[in-house]
Amino acid sequence: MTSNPIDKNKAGFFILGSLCIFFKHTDLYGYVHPYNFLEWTSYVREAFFQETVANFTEVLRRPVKMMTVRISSSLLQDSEFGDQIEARLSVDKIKKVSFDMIVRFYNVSKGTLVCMTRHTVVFVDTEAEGFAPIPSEMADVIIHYRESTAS
Amino acid sequence: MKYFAYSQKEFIYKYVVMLSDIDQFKHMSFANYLKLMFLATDALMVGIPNCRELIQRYRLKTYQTNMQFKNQTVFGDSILIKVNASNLIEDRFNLIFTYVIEETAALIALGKQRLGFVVDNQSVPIPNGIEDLLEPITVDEENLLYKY
Repeated sequence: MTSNPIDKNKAGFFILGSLCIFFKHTDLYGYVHPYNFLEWTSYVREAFFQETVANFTEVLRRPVKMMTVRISSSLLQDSEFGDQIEARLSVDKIKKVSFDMIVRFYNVSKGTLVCMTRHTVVFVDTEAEGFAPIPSEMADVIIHYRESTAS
Repeated sequence: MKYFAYSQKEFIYKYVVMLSDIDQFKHMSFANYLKLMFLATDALMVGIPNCRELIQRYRLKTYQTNMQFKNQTVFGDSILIKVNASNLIEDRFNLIFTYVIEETAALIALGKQRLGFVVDNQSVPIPNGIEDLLEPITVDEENLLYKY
């Protein structure tokens, strides 16, 4: 029996479901334009922090800001209008001032992994003009979503 | 000691950062730089004389997208996106993108896409016309100042 990636144990992932493919997301050929997965990546990570870091809006007001320094995206399968997409976020390479976030997009309608993005964020103190440690409230959360736990 | 002058052609796409591009932190959101990369690719393809026929017949497929962010931009900044090609093989090629601020030449971002053409979900050789478009802007990434 072929294992369905959607059925995997969800522990260790932050899951954002119910991303529905509308006409706006499709290209000339009827497939999801790859840019959408990059935009959804930004939504998934913000939803992750909003949901898991209790005082996230207060953290945002501090001089220490989170900056994206790199992102990569691999498009693995096509998706079409009407498909339901589920995004799973996990965290990797946790260091003092940075960490990676990996988002896997599963096409729930077809039971396949369709895209994977990885991006690195770094924390910068805008007043001291240098790198800053990951805010403790975020550091306490991300350890529970480490890639080794998720896979 | 020998000296030489080197001039490389590139395709340039210009974009001015608008209010709708920036977020509450006054900078352009990272996803918008990626959107600009796709726009620059499309703008390059529009330069093919039979572009409309070609895109009906062949699907331009993006296999991989990478971007590194070096500096922020704010409302009103003019971004020049310089586009070059690399690693042309039979059915795949790279486009590499260098984002700079027009006024200061400050480096904003470095991007890269791995692209190819498909028909009926089968990879096909790079169509005639595309090669002619890419050849003048093709570079050897090993010889570049930046790693994309």
